[in-house]
Amino acid sequence: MRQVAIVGVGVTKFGKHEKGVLQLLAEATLSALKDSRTEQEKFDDVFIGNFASGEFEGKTGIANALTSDLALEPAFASKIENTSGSGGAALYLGWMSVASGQSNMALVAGGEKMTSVPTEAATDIIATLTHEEEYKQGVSLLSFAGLMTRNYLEKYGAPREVLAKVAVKNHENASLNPNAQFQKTITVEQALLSPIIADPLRLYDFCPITDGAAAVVMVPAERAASFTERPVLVSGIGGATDTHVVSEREDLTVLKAVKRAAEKAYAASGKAPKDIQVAELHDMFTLMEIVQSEDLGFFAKGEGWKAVEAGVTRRDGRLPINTSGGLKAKGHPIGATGVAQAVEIVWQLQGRCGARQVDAGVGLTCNVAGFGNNAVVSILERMK
Amino acid sequence: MNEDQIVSFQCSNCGLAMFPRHTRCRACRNTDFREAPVREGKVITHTRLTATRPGFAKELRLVVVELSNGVRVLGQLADDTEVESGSRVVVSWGKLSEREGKTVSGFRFLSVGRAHG
Repeated sequence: MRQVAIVGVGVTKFGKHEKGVLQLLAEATLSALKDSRTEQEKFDDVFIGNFASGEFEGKTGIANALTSDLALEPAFASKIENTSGSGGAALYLGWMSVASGQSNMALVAGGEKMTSVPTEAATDIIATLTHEEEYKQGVSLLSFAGLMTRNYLEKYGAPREVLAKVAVKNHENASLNPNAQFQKTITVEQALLSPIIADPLRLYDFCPITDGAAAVVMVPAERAASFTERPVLVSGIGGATDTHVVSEREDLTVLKAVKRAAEKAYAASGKAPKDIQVAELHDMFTLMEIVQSEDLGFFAKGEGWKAVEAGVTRRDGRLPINTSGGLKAKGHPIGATGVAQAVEIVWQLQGRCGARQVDAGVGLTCNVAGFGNNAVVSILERMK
Repeated sequence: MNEDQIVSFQCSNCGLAMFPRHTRCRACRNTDFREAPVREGKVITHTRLTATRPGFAKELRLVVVELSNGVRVLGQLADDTEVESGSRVVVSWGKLSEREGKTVSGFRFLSVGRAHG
């Protein structure tokens, strides 16, 4: 397998847009093409991460539409649907295509237009990814979140307040990210007094409904220097799955798909959890960031919340997590998220994050699909 | 169908019980199962959901229950008594949702108090 580098990235502002998913994808892609100086290059592959353009906007075939709109023919093109992990799955396939030698230049973009339907309808569309027996009982991802969180807090004796601290941290990071949906900081008290959604979780524990898109350009590492002075190596990437039926997991506080995907990514890159200096995790609700920080091996199981208390995951801590604001405060346009996580890590490694910049040469992304039934973990490194 | 039970599925090869039924056994990939009815269990975790989906009650109590044969299932809590993790529940039957005149029924749980030990 060849080594693969990211040579350019682009992202739209996250939030509520008048634009549809195709226009958002086009905007993010144009930024990535400009960033990688590949506007006139021939692309072999176009992978588009998207969850539900059909349900949200009545639009299908969006990868083909985008390829034609941006004059990227005759590249191979396909939409990649993997629920909340659609972006990560597209990243994985882009990497695979370039690494295998099949492709010399791949565009990986992800996008979602979600505000086209009311919030209640969006929740219902998202809930269709659950198993039909659990769906029938009335579950949504919000309820799985409440069930997992109570189990975690009781099992490990973590205080409820620590969840609010994750939200406060991520809002603060988002306030320094001009592309983030939320630009305002919040307090622990505000988070703890927000309306109950799925107890013990409240409104400020959850990511919002968001429109947005992100894109990256991948090439063989040996060609990277001809496109950018600051290429980023995809040194390891892994994907894995766990049970679809959430309730049949032996331990609701463990995301096995994340553990398994991480093992593959670490093995491929030769890195260990202690080598990671910045990470973007899939915090669709506050506890998810803590649980993933454990399942990725950063902290022991049941101890991730202590790292939040100690400030380890803040921008000035030993391992900054979600410097972008995360899904929680940057926003979560479903198909865009996995790609947007890579964009943030690339910018951090390139030193382009302005007020939220941290000192890091090795970063990690963790994109989770469904309610933990699928995950993609990637390790990115500044190229020497 | 007996209404006060959950019919779980036990692999006829390795004996692993599961619900819902899978096409292949999670442990040994066998495709034959026998029905294993279960009537009670204990609460592993619970939530009170206020942002419910169309067709469901405005407020929904959901529990993950470990049934007496070890199978874990998710379901609605039917009554309004308090439950805690560890509470014993029994299986009942009732309306789960109603949308556009169509009623969906299924198993639900009723709490019967704290487990001993």
